[in-house]
Amino acid sequence: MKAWLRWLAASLLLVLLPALTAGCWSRHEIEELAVVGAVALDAAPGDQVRLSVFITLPRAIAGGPSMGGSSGGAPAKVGEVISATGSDFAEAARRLEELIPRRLFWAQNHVLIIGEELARRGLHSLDFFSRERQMRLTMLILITSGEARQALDLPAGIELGPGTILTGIVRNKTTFKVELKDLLAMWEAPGDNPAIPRIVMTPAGGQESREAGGGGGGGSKGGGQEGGKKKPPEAVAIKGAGAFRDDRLVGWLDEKESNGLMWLRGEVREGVVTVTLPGQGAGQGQGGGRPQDFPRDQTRSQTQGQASVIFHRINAQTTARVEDQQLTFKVEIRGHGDLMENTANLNPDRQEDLQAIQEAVNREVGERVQAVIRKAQQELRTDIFGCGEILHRSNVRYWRQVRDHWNEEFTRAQIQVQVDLTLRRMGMTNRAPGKTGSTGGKGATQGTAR
Amino acid sequence: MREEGYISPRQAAVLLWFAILPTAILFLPALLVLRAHQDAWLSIIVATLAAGTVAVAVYLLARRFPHYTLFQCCELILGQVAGKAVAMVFVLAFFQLNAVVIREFSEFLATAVMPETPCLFFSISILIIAIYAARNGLEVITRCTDFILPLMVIFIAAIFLLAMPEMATRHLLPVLENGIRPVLGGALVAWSFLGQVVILATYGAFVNPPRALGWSLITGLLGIAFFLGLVVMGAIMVFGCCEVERLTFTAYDLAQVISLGQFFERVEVLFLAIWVAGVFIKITLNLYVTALGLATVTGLKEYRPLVAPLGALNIVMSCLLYRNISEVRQDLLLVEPGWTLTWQLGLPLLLLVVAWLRGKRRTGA
Repeated sequence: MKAWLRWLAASLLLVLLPALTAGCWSRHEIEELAVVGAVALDAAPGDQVRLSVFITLPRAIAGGPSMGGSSGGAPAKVGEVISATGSDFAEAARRLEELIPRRLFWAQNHVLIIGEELARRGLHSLDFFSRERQMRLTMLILITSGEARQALDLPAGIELGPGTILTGIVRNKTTFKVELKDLLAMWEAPGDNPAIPRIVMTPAGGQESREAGGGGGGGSKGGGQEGGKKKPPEAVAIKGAGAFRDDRLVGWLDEKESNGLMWLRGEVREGVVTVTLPGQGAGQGQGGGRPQDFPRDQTRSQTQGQASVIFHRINAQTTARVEDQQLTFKVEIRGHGDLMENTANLNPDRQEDLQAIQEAVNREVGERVQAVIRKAQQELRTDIFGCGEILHRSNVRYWRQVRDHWNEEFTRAQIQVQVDLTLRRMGMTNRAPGKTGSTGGKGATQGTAR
Repeated sequence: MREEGYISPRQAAVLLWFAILPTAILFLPALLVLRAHQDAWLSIIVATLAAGTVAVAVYLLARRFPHYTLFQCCELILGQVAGKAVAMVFVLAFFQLNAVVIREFSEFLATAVMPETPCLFFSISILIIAIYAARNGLEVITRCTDFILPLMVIFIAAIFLLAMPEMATRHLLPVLENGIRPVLGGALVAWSFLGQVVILATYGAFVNPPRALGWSLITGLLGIAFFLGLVVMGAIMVFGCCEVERLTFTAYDLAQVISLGQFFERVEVLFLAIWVAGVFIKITLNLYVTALGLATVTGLKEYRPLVAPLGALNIVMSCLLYRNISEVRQDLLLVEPGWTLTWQLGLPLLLLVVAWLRGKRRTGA
């Protein structure tokens, strides 16, 4: 009797087990999912929002980059972009599912692009992206002037989808990185305001001239919007940043300013500083450090040149001090750099020349930091440096007095910057080829012990 | 009633970890930070000291009545009627505690992973296993922990280590921004979890040798405080205290931020699997203790027939207890501290004082 019952129970369990372990209710087969590869958020007329998603087409990915395809070298389309509007993003997302035959699957999404108009309205509509369970807290946040949806129309290049293109660019560390969790933390903290890296898109030209915009090199500052409203963008670059006051976009930082922001916040990873140097010796008092776009003078090109230094990581320390109601922040930036390129007539083997490059680099970084401080304090009037949190940590009593009107108080604060960067290594060679390292000719040409 | 079989002091300490940690690392940090902000880690220290008083009470009781469960002690100390009444309070308290845990378990699974699945399905499926395990006795439950403990410990430590690149110690400053009151408020919330060490007074009767119970209590409590502190401080350092307040399931979110070289990502599902195993132990242990207590009170020879009905009632109770998850959080934040203070500290102390006054002890038995 007992054995009989046991057998019955065991076989019943065996039958039930396959049904239960597979997770019968919440199963989602991969064939039923529309995998979202990138998301763009825009404002829509009438206080509505527009949600655009890039949906990866599994067929296109699985088939590999169809290089031998018929479309003349251009890689096949790997996804489609669809948008829907709604009064909030949950509604818009539901409307998207009216348009496609599969369920939206958010967990593979790495990029969230915010359009300018929505950013000016405020970030409060981002709640959906932290509440929905599939969302990654580590998704990248980017901002663009104009329409964010355009960024999803990027043509496939080395990477196929806009999500992988943009995350790849950010991974190059030319700009700072803001993930959703960072954005939320910056936004929530009363003494901090978000700054988000900006995507700059180059509109498609008349013909297929991929070289023209490739890499997004020079000064195409925000000019991408007027021309290419309908056409897909040709190329993309991530440079500059959007600065927020509380949760609203208030202005843009250009490349130099956003770089200064990175230095100030200590977020420089593989930061390259290029300076123009006077060739003659250790250019004391000659105003050496000029930005790289200083007009080149043919006659002086013999002596004048550039030097680039890379900093793999730096340390920026900000301290707050209050003296008779005058608030002063002191920013100390320290780090060791390696020489990357040297076209100036300097021999970094000689200490004076090394010092000259170092000084110029320090001056240049100081200028960049000053530029962003000026912009934030005078023009944007927002504390994107997190100075308020630094004050909060060091002087709670004073912080309580200014907390409620911190951004105004911030504009009155004094910010002192002290840059102390040193050049430590010089790469695989010492003096530049074809240069003698003029003033110290003897030392430069022969004194190269190692 | 007595049960055959003994567990070692080390196993008792490990069981104590499982009796508290699984739900504590998930639900507690957000509530703790809501009260204590960046000083949450101080709250944990205070709460650990406070829970130490419970531990001392448990230890002193165990020294007076070695090899007797809490429920038996009640009768020995207070006489039959009053003793049974107090023992019944303990039984109901453990029963209610288990219902809360079951509810937390199913709410979390429904929110974070499987929203389409009815909540009841989670409770029923874990209770089936828990009933099976609880019927097999304490030794079996303990042996389960031998398997789950390394997973749990390694994983919590791994989460903390791998999330380290995202951490900034500056989020922990300023210390004591608003004075000591928020810290104490947070400690009160943490206390309602840590005070559950009182459970050792029940299964502590089966620890051999009984004098080593003190060691189990100390290592148990310190271990809990350590891992809880790891999760809470990790979360504050990653998200900043303003943001941690918003995160309902903190440890899960902490696992979410881990990203190692673009491929080791989204380990939170792994966390989920291990966490479910931990909660299974917690539910089983509570169920076992409840059944054991009820059997003692009603004078049954065996606790086993009670396990399945109690488990079924527990499911019903867990459904009836709260209308929504916000009530669960409110309960943990506002109600539980007072209630746990009563039955986890007040009652054992009362027993101890009465035993001392009446000169009751059962040493050398």
